[in-house]
Amino acid sequence: METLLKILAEIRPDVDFEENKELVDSGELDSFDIVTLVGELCEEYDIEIGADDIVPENFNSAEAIMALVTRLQED
Amino acid sequence: MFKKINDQKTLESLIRAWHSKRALTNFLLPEEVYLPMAKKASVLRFAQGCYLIFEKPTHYDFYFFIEKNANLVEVPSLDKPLVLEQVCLERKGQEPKAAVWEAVGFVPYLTRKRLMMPLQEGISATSQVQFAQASQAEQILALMQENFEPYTSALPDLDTLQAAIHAKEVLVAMQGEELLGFLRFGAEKKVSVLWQIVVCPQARQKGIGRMLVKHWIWQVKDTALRCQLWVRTDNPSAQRMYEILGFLPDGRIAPVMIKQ
Repeated sequence: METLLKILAEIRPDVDFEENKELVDSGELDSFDIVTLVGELCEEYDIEIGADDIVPENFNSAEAIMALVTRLQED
Repeated sequence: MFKKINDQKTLESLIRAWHSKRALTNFLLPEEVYLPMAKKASVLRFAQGCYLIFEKPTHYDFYFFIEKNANLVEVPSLDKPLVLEQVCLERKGQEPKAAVWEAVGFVPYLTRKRLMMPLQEGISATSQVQFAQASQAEQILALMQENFEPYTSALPDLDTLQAAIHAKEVLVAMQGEELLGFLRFGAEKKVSVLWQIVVCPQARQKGIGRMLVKHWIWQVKDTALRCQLWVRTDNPSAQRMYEILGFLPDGRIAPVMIKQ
């Protein structure tokens, strides 16, 4: 989780990722942030994130993003 | 040559396929924005990528999907300019490679940076600023067209502006019957975005712009998470005004190139 929070802070240092649980639904993260984040996650965790996984519920909180990463690592 | 796409399904599957390949791209529009524009879209496919354009009244918005390390193919000239905007993080190594696009006919046009401000207490309203009336729409639209470049300023048409006025998203600074300036804003989910602000030449250097911005913040302080705007990097006086009001760069820049 620490690595993920570091990646998120690099992309959006102004956002409180530990508190905000509706990052996409509130508009805090937009499509540019998501595309940047997907690229960073794929490289850092050696996973492939397909278009079907790029949905708001997978990116609304740091926990949801971590759950997506963990699921894709196990697949 | 570019070929028309026409239907939403073809456009959607094209974009999803390229996003899944993690191709290099400047295409970041959400589906709810790009799907209704399918009839305005054309594509030029090549071995390791494609160019995608959307026709606008004054120009074409130009997007690309390119596999890493692929070479660009020639970009055909069209009847209107092609406008290429690449949003990126202002970090070392993240800036788009302008030279690559210069080789296929684009030249630098302008650069904007994004500023944001969390909502804060202590901003006050002033009676000199009020909501625009429907009867002011044409005057406001004319001011927009005089003061903004036509390609990347998100200028509305008259109907869209009337809708914004009706939704109380256009503020005006008045002196009697005289319009001194206006500010148009709107919501993107819980973020309030400043779309355009103009102060008439005779009213400049009098704090009207700052007054309009403060009034906007005051209007949205109970509903928005933050205020956000893009400012041109060649407009230092506007940048200074926003910084004085508490706006900070969030690291995002958007260089724009154009091919006439």
